[in-house]
Amino acid sequence: MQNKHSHTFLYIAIIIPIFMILFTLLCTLYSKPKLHSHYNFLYTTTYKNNAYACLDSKTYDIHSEQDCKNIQYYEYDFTKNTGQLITLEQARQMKLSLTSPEGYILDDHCYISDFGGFGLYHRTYPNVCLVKDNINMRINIIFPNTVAGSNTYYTFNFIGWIIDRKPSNEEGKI
Amino acid sequence: MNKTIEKNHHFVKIINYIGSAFIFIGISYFIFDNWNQLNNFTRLFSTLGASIAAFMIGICLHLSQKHEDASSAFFMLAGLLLPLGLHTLLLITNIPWSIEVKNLFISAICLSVFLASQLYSARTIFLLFTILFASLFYLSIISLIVNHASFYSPNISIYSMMALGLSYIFLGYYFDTLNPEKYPFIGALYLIGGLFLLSGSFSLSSALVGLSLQQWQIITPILIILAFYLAVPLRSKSFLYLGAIFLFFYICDISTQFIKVFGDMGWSLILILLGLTLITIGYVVIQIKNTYLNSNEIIKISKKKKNAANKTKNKH
Repeated sequence: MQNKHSHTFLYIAIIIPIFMILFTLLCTLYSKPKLHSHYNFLYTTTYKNNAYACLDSKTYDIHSEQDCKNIQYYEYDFTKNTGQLITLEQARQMKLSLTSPEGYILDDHCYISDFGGFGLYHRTYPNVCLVKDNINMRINIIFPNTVAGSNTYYTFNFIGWIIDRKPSNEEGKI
Repeated sequence: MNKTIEKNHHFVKIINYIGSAFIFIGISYFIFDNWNQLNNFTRLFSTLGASIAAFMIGICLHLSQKHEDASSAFFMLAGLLLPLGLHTLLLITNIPWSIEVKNLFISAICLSVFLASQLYSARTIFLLFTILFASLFYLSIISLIVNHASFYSPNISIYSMMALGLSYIFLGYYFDTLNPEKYPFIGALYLIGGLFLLSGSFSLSSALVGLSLQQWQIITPILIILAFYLAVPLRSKSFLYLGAIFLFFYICDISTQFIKVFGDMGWSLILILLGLTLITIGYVVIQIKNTYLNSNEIIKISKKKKNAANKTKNKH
């Protein structure tokens, strides 16, 4: 009787983590909340953390200085769920805002709190998530060199939410 | 006389374990410091090779029966070096696996080795490493699932740690019911389990440092009271101290609400309340510890348990 009773606690101790694994699996498979921003955003992926300096904090315009010309700008398109490379001129035509009109937040440290690594491994690129109401949705940011063994650390630099596009000079003339 | 021999025995064991830890730190430092100077064979030989060698020596000493105690130190060294050796193997082979898959692979291999050893010849050191690698295996699976999903709640990592804590408590209780003297790590299981459970619950409920979830604001005080309540039947000082610490944190957390109600006067009220709470908690903890958890009382309860177990055995 004593043995049967004590074995019950061993089974409970084993079942709890198994239940948690199943719970996590079901949560991630079946909970698909709709996180869809109607506004795209502008970002860069550099291994130098200097892209923020390219945005004028007062006018929200991108500078046309040499340093800012060398950076590759991407527009993240939520309809296609990919980032598309754009030119500096295209980026400068955009009317930007640092806050999303729909209340979304971009978190470039999501998944960091998880257990990947155990101190043995380091990611060379961040995971970027769209966050609202305590729900995270990973977005498809592609970094130039994310192969195993790469030692270059890339950063995700959020420039701004694209609120509108300014009419280009040529369109203005028309 | 027996007690002195037992004390010396424990002392030698501790010295052996410390020696193993030093060897592990030495090898790890050697590998990380000279990584670029070493060739692949040396890298693998000094980590995975050393782990296998330590395990083999441990088996030889274990089988000799004369030096069984020394074998624990070699098994410990093998357990510490095995993940490092497997990590080195993955680095050298440059397999393009994700971090989560690598973790799963390492923890699965380590778990298989120590679980098989435990099933073949039950020993405390095997059991300890089985629990450790099973925990890492569980966390690796959770991490793998979460990192392959597009949607997830960031609270999942807290819930999984809480589940692990609860599992440790049940495991501790299981060993406690079997034979508390045979398993010296029961207290550690209660401590880590209670810490995971209470810190997780507190971080979900706290308005000051956590997520301020309403349902957890009700569950957290229940868990704290449970920690106090369970400290006596489980004879666990860790539960008592953890209960006291988290009760203090919880009162700190809810007392911040006074500022909303009383304005600037709230600060002085908080200090008075915290002072009173600290004195009360300290008094209650000392009373419980002296009444129920002093060593004589624990010995009495253990003897009663042993007698009861012997009686049931004789009946059978």
